[in-house]
Amino acid sequence: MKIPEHIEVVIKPTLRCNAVCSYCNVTQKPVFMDLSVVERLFRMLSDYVNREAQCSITILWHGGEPMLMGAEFFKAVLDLDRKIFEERPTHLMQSNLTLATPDLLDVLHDLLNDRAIGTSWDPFEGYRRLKDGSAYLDRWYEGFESAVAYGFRVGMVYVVHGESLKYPQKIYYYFKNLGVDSLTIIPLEEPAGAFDGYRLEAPSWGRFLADIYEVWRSDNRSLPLEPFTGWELLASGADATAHSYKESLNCCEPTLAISPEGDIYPCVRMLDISAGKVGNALSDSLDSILMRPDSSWRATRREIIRQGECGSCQWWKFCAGGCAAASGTRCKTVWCEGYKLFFEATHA
Amino acid sequence: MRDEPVVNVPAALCDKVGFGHVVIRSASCEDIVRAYKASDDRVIGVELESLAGNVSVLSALPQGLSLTLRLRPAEAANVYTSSWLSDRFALAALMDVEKGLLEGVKLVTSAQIPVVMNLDSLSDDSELISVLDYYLHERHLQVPIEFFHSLFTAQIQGAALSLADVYPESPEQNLYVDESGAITGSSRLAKAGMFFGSVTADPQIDQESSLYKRLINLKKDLFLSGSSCASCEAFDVCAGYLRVVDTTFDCTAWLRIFGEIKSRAKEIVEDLERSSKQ
Repeated sequence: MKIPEHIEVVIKPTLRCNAVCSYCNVTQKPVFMDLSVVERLFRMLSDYVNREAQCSITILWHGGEPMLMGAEFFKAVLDLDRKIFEERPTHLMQSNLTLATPDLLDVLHDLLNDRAIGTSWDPFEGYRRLKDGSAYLDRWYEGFESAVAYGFRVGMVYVVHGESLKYPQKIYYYFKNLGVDSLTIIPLEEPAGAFDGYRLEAPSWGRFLADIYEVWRSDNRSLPLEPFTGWELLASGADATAHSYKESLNCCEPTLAISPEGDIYPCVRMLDISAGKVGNALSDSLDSILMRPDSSWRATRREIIRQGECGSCQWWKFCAGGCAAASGTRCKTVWCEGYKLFFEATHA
Repeated sequence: MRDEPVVNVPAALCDKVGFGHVVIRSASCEDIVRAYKASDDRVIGVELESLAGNVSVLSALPQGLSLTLRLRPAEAANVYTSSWLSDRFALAALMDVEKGLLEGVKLVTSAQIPVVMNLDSLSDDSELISVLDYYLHERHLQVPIEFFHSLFTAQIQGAALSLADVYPESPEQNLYVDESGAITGSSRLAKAGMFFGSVTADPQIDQESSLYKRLINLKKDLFLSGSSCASCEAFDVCAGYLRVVDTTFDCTAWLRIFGEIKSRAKEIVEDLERSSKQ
């Protein structure tokens, strides 16, 4: 087995969330991660990187809403992190920020050693709501201001849906004006639950990308905007390690997505729908998990789809097959037509 | 860096304001000098609202003090009869945006006096556009014309700067006391009848008033209220300033002005980059 240079560990300490977003895929089980799972997981990772010195680890705290775990939980996590790892891994968090209280941010300031938090918001009404009925944007803005005051860089992930399509310029400037440090746009995949918003088709996604790319270019690229920033680096050849699409969305291989019970999946989205489990942090070794063929399913998928039309596609280096979870293990990206439309309009 | 606001106050009420860095204003040179002498070292500048009186009285003020002349464009030629003011003081002309502004600006800048355009009234866009053209293309211009100059140089330097910085009206930065003693953030807010305090009240400033809170957190207010400013391409240079008084103000001409400033600044940056590569 080839030793990975990097392992992306996505820990979902709970799948519960204080929000209801109309396009969310997560099955909100009322389970919270026990610290014994964290300790076992950290020891497993620490043993591995102690043995395989070239391998680095990033830990992304995800959910559900990870801040629901509270300050005491993350204080204990920080203690374990300092006790177990000889060299601390990079810790990041994805949060809706509506629970970002000062006592929690005090702890996260020490735990999240890259000082980066990813978050989400939708300027269109009704897509993101809080369960307690309070105003989502008011609470988000408060959390955002606090996070910035604590010195965090805040990156925004925006899910593009059918209603977004007419407003690429407004959406770009809205997030730029908010003052976030970066923006990542992703297409709304088929949601698991009921969704009463406008759907997104592949050609529309491509046209939206082309439109917002033009806005971004005219604005001197002043807000880092993925996937464009990564794609342009890749196109310029200035950075040989620049990320392709899969990597710009943090889909590293291997990815270990950890459920509150310690179950391990090779992809965050598969965890969300409880499909394709590859092991458990309490009962399996990391070697045994990484050796399973389904732990490297993205690479296998890429080999398979390159035998088809993707093999001769001039845009492969940007797309790399797209999101595997959305498209299936043997199929090219469901957004292929849109990406081609975008690349032909902007890079041809 | 100032940690207290600048308070623009009528000379007659100067003794009522016990905080901040003070700018004394009056149409009477005698009143300004009298108020200055009665004040302590909090006075950082004076604003003369008319050149009609005996300007020579101002020679009693210390050399180098900031002196702002409030000028209607039609009065611009008067600066030549008081040219000694620019030798003695840090002089600037605050000019109303109205018909004849371009000619007025030409006269004042030809006397090497910096101009600040007074945005209390935002009605005459065409004069503003003419002055922008003059600012950007007049090769003999040697003094700044604000707000153009600050925005333009900030764009070239890649610095964050907006109208709200050039014309501050957040109570933490700027206060304006009108002739009746009512307190607000700027003269345009006073003209619009928007106040959050009074020099005769106790406390003088009502920090719980909605206007005070709005001005302290203008950006947050714009986003939370669903203002169209939140998604505006010019928010980086406007910061919602144009719609503080009238939330329905038509910004169309202003977008052209901001666009022109940005594109000219971009050209210069590109020229500089090209020349540094050669």
